[in-house]
Amino acid sequence: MKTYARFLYLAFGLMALSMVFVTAGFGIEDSCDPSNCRKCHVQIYEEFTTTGAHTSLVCDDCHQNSDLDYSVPVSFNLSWLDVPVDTPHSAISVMCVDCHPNVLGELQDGLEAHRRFYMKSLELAVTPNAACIACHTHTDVNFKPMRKAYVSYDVSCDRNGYNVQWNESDELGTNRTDFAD
Amino acid sequence: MAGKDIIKYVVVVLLMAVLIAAFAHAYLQTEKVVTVSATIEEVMAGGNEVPNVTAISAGVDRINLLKYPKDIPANFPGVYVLMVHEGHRINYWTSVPYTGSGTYNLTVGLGSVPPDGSEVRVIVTVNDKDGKRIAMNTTNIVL
Repeated sequence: MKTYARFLYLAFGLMALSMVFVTAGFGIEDSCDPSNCRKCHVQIYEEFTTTGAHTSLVCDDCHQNSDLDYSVPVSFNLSWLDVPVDTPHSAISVMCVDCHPNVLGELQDGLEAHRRFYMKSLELAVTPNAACIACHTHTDVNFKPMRKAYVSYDVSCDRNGYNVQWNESDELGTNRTDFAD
Repeated sequence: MAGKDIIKYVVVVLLMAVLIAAFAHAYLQTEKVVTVSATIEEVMAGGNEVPNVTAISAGVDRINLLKYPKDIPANFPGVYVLMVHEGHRINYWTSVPYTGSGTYNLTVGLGSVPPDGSEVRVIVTVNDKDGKRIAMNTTNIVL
């Protein structure tokens, strides 16, 4: 009877072990602990957890953790261990317009006030999110507003009367200045 | 002594039965996933070849819980799928390595499953070796 019981224990142990392996092999959820992010990004953490429309979100809702902080192996394919040490940290980000596509639609309108600001941000070596973050968070952004100091018109006259055309060109060098000047 | 052995035997058998039942339950139960097929072509732009997501087809499938895909470690460069419902990302992080022009098939697990009939925005992106998004396209599907 003892031998039989030992056999059963062994069978049970092997079965439990195999099930752990099988279930561990599939579908690991990347559990991001926001308090880890807070250590370096305290201002962002405090702002996002206390104010605004995103208080219910956690960091990895928008940023994929890429710093090998996986507490358990993701399947038995160990290729994830081969990620170079200089892999960008949390480099995969959701764009603001992914969840707010209506904004992107509004920005297609040439008369939309923020279109130029957004489009210019795309030319810079920053994420397009910066254009949104500049105004919609407390993040310090070196934002230099520009305004037209002069308005230039090309005026011509013919037999039909005056032809007035607004000259928007910056090439004149007098059309645009900024507040700092 | 014999009585204790019988109790042990019964306990072990019951535990095994529970485990087998749990295993069978997980094996038999299925959950919704979204299968995404994205065609990516490399086109010349500014003297460089850049990826362009030319077509996306997405559909709903079911997969058993033991094989259910969840968060997959980031790939650099990689093809990523994001699924957005009512302003929230609802899928697990899903990506495959980007290797150039071709068709990429991804099976996307859903962290939160919206109600049947919900329209979901499917976004396919290509991110470069630094994680920067260099191409994207979107489509909508009804779950």
